[in-house]
Amino acid sequence: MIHGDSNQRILAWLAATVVIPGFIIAGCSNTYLGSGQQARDSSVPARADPPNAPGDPNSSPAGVESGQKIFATTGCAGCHTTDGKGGLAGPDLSNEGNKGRSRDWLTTKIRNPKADNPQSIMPAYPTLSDEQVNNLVDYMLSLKTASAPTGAAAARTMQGRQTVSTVSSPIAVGGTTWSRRCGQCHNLRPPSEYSDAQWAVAMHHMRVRVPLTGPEQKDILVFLQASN
Amino acid sequence: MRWRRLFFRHIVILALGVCAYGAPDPNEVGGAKKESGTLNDPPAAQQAAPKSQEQIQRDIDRLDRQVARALQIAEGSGLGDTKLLITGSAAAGYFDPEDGSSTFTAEFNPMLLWQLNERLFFEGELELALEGPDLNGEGSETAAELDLAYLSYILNDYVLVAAGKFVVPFTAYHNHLDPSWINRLPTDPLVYGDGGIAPDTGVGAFVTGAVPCRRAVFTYAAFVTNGPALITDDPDAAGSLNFDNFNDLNNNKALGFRVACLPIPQLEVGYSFEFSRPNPPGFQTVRSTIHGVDLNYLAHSEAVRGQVTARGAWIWSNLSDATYDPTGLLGFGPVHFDNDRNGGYAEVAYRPTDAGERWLRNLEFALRYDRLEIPSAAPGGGTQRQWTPGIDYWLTSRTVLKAAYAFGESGDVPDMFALQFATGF
Repeated sequence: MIHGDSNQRILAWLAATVVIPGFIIAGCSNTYLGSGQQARDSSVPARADPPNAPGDPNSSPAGVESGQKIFATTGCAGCHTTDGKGGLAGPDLSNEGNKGRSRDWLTTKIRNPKADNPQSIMPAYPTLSDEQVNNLVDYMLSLKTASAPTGAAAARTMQGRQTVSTVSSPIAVGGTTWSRRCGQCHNLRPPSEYSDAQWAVAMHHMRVRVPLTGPEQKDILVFLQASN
Repeated sequence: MRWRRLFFRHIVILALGVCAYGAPDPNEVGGAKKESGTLNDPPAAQQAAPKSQEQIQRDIDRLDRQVARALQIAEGSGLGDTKLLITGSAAAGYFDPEDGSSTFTAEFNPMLLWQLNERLFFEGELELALEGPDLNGEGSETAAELDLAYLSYILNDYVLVAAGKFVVPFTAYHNHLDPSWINRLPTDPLVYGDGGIAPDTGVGAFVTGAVPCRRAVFTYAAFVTNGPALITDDPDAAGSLNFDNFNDLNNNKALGFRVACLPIPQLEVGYSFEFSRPNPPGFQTVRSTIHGVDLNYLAHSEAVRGQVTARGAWIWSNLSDATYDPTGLLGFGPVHFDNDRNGGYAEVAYRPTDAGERWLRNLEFALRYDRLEIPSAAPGGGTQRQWTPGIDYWLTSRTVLKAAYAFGESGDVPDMFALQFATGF
């Protein structure tokens, strides 16, 4: 491997392509990458997937709480609204638990947003562990508005939603712009890694380097600061 | 008389009672009765005296003044209002070229970002790398280079100006794709590496910005720099350009620009141009014209259940014909050739982001084809072709372990095995 023979180099490269993944599979996926994130089939208990998940017995309060934090810190809230807060680029998830989504469906949606809609602009989050995705699903299934509004209340709600939906939220626009312009060249850094002040500096840097327009810079910054 | 006094006494008592019953309740404010204000409430004298609206307002005003004072003190004792961020990248590598010794490498590129205010911004970057010994075993040292140092000022939403040492906005590679944690392979494309034909960094000034147009975005940059220097006295490199020319050798500056368009969010295409007169004093006038086109495409593909990246660039470099070492005093001339140099690269990468297994989602496969055409009569001339397949494993979104094997299609480029562990921080 160290010597200059061409055949040995090819063998070395082939060995590396086998050894590195093997090493990673054997070790990293259950150790370093762990930090509570383990391979799906080895450590995360298999869950029964009822066809309709409302009242999913597999959800746990801890999972819901953890999922809520993940939702707030990994950028989901930049595009999705829950309890009246969040972005508008994606669907309002405030009543997601009442929509009859199965656990499998939600998991697939998070892993591969284009699975059911090829035009979806939602970015995939390959860095989320199976456990994190499970927690997110727990949180999604827990989102249920108290009761379906009827009559005048329903009319007011619909009117309000229509009003809100026509507004281009800077957070939502920023989330979309972030995934498109920044994700064009490199993997996206989780918003939680920087403070508001740090993101302000980083986005000024990207304004110069990419370059971005002023509104793009501001929108992305609003999104990142709302999601960190 | 007595019954009259009794009668009037009862009338007065009754009147007082009626008045007392009809008087406003002390708990009523502005006509609205508080929930707790009932006839069964204890007498007012037994409760804390309720504050009038004026008193409440005075209390609020006093609190406002105290909060304002506290804020003033807090702001005055702060550490300043500029914002600083240290970021950058680091990498460790192992390179085993066919025609040389294998070696481990390490590099560290700290970047200092300083936002002086909403418009003014400074970016500085150092490149620290280990330099190995020469053939005599001497000369090992740490090389430190000022990679970037420039100050920028935002004029408006669509224009900013900057000056200093910056990445020349010529094609997208150096500006966007060459940090080790972004590049999918351990090595640079031939056209951007040592002996390449594309500008890297330069000292000068530039103006840049982006303009949205419907759903598309256009970006532009125009620059003026000291420009490259024509190498005239090196028998191994005569006729090529040295882009690390930070002290200008003449009064002629390099001018150039890049325009790019993102017609759809996943695709960016750009065109770049640079013109300069890089000849040193005393050498015949030589004009350098460099054109470049580049492409960057990233999309999720349902067909292959993952993320596909396609990048590429092609660069045409033309220098006026010149005779190098015309008198033969340097020992390699006279040499005269048509100095057109072209080259480019095409790279595709695939990451199975939809795979069920996490370790598989973290893998990425990359393949790059490089081509660099140098006039056959020029020193080091010939056409170099190289394939570089590689495999990456992403430990985090900014930390990657890369393995690649580069080999020449026709044996004109030394084969090399490379490993690299890179991170952006």
